[in-house]
Amino acid sequence: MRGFSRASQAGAMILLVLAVIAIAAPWIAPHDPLRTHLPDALLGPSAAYPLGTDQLGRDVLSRLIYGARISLSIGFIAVGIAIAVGVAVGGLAGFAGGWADAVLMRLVDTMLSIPTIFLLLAIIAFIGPGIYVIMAVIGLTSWMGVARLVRAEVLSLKEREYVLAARAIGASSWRVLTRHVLPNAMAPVIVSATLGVGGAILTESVLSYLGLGVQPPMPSWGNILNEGRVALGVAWWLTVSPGVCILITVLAFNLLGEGIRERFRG
Amino acid sequence: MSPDLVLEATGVTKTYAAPGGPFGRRQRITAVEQVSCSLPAGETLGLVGESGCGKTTLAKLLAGLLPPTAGEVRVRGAAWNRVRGAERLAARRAVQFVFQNPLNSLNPRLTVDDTLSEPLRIHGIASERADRRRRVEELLDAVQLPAAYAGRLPRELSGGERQRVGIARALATGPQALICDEPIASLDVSVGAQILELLRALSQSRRMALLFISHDLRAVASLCRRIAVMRQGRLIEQAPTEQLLSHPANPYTELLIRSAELDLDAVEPS
Amino acid sequence: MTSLLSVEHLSVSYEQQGEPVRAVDDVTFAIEAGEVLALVGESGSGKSSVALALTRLLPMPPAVMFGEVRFQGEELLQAPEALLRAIRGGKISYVFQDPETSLNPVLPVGEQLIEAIELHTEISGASARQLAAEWLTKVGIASAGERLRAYPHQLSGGMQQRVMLAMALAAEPSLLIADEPTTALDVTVQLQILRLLRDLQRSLRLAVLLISHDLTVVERIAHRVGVMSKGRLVEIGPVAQVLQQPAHPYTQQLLKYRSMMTLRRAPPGLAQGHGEQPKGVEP
Repeated sequence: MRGFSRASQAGAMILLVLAVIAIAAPWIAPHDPLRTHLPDALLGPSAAYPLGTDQLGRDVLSRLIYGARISLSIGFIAVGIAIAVGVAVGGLAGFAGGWADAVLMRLVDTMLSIPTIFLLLAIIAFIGPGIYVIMAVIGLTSWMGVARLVRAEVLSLKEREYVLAARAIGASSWRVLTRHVLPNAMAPVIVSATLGVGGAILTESVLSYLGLGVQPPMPSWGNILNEGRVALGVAWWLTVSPGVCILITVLAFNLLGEGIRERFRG
Repeated sequence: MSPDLVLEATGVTKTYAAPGGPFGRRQRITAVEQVSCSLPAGETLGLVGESGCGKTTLAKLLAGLLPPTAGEVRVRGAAWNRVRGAERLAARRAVQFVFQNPLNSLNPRLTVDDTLSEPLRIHGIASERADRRRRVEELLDAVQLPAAYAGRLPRELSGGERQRVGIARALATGPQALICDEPIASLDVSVGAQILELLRALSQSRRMALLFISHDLRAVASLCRRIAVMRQGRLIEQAPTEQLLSHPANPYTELLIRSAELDLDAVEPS
Repeated sequence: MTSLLSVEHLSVSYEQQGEPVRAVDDVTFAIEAGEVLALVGESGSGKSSVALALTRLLPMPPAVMFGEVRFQGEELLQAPEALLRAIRGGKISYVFQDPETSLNPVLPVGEQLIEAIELHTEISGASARQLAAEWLTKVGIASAGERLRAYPHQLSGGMQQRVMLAMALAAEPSLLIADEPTTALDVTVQLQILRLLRDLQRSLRLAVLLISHDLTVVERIAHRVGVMSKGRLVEIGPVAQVLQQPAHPYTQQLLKYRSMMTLRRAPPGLAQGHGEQPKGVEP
């Protein structure tokens, strides 16, 4: 991949491996992640259980592998929602200008002035936790940055000559926006999205840690961390392994995102 | 109002509100003031002036890309600011625009084929794919580019080639008038001369009116049969080329001529 | 008699995607004192690279230079940087195309002009200020005293370029290198600046290397002209000869394209110059 730094290539490789693991979970997980076997509770890493077991005798490695599926899906879908909303709002505001711009940007400002975590907690406490709720809520509280980015790009692209040329040949405003302006505005959005997936995974971990995320017995890195809390003294692997997974994944997304940003700069 | 006029501007004025300085002084800048001119079918009219004289603004007003503050621009009798819908699309088809900077006037993500097909799609010309393909090839041929260029991106073309694509795009709707805003200003002299030749040939073969805007009197004089001179938003002189060059009525025109010839020893008009 | 500037087999190459590219390819020419040599060519011909290479103004990696450049007998390509720094802006000075980017926007033009004077002459302080005002007048800027305090953005493009000329000439150079000095200006302003350049060149008996794409400019100002194409100097000779009887096909092509775009009425007589007095005095 020409033009990408070593670090960002490493990030991309890690994510590729992670994606493969997540997809191939049913075939590579040594045990059923939901299978409890109390006699094997809180065992350290061994041949049978490479990363040990938790309080209910479930294999940590298998839970982590399935947890990757959950975390990655939440990350991508949440960011997908954020991008969809952000591009729509930012694109419309930048392109239409005038009162539409003013109204939409005030909406963005309002959303931004509410601390995200509290908003999330409030909404989840109200609706109740669940994997789809998490995806939607994270997505709907993180679109604002994208909206601003897109609006800024659209404002500058609106003045480009090829946009004027499109109008000159008779293109409708919709066509100009969707075919000429937005496609050329996506570069910073891709960077933001890449970094955003890492952020979404972190947020999910925090929510799960607080008990408001993915509900057991479905494994997510966050709730494995949460469950490991009480056994920290005796079973450090319950905390360290999901922690390391989160760390590596978010780092990988950050490296890749930064790499994309550098690649498309100037 | 002669039906033979493709474009007609009457008393066109365009003013902008200037962003006032930190003390909020709002001024109005007049880019174009009370300009009246017309472009009959098949005619080649040149518009010369220096930077800031308003010629680009006038070009955009004539092309219906900007609304006038006062006055009217009519395309084949129909005023830009009064046509809507299908009528407006028809006006768009009739008057097309060629931009100055070929690098900026082509969408960098679209291939030549996409760029040339777009006007065909918008106006419902050649709805069949094969038909469109053929049309695109015809357009490339008209601007002397090989058909194989259809798959290329703008960054794979030279400046002159990009400008030819820009011209081809403008020809796609079969316009009756082509407005060219400094089309050769950013090109080398030899490339520019070839583009000029191309425009001349196209104008003649298609009976297409040309409005050629430039700061370069030499280019304008070699292509156009009539020349109009703009200064500070006003049209100060309009005449057939021969007459304007040999007997300019306005001292500013005389100065432009001397400048174009680089007549270093000319005495400046006061 | 040695020439003021003598360039022998000058080559400048860069590496582009692994391949060496010759921006300047084996160029040889000379400029005599008081003579105006023009280098014409299209974009990419290497003419601007030649201008910058003469005083090693090109960034040295990635550029690699070969050949010999002798100025007043001294070789420049191999000389120590200190010598070159003394020469640049002093004995050899430059005027570039875009005055806006050459002038420091946060300093009044007077300060910049005085700085140039103090750097390259023995004059400083109040005398330098005086000289700066004189030079502004010489380049045709009225109310020179007041204008010294003006900032670049307060001046028009033409005036900025006049200031650039003043800065280049105040140090009393032997050679002025002007790279497309009027290309970015309006046509009427271009006329004034070229006239000024010609008049100053005659009165100061200045040697000038003029880089241009415009053959008419060359016709009016230069004594000799060199034609460049793809880094090579394909033809060089007296202006009248090269423009009327071009030997090289590329020159012929350039002239052909030029003739496709001329005003139809007969142009004034071809280049005066060669030490003649200018006809008519401008107010």
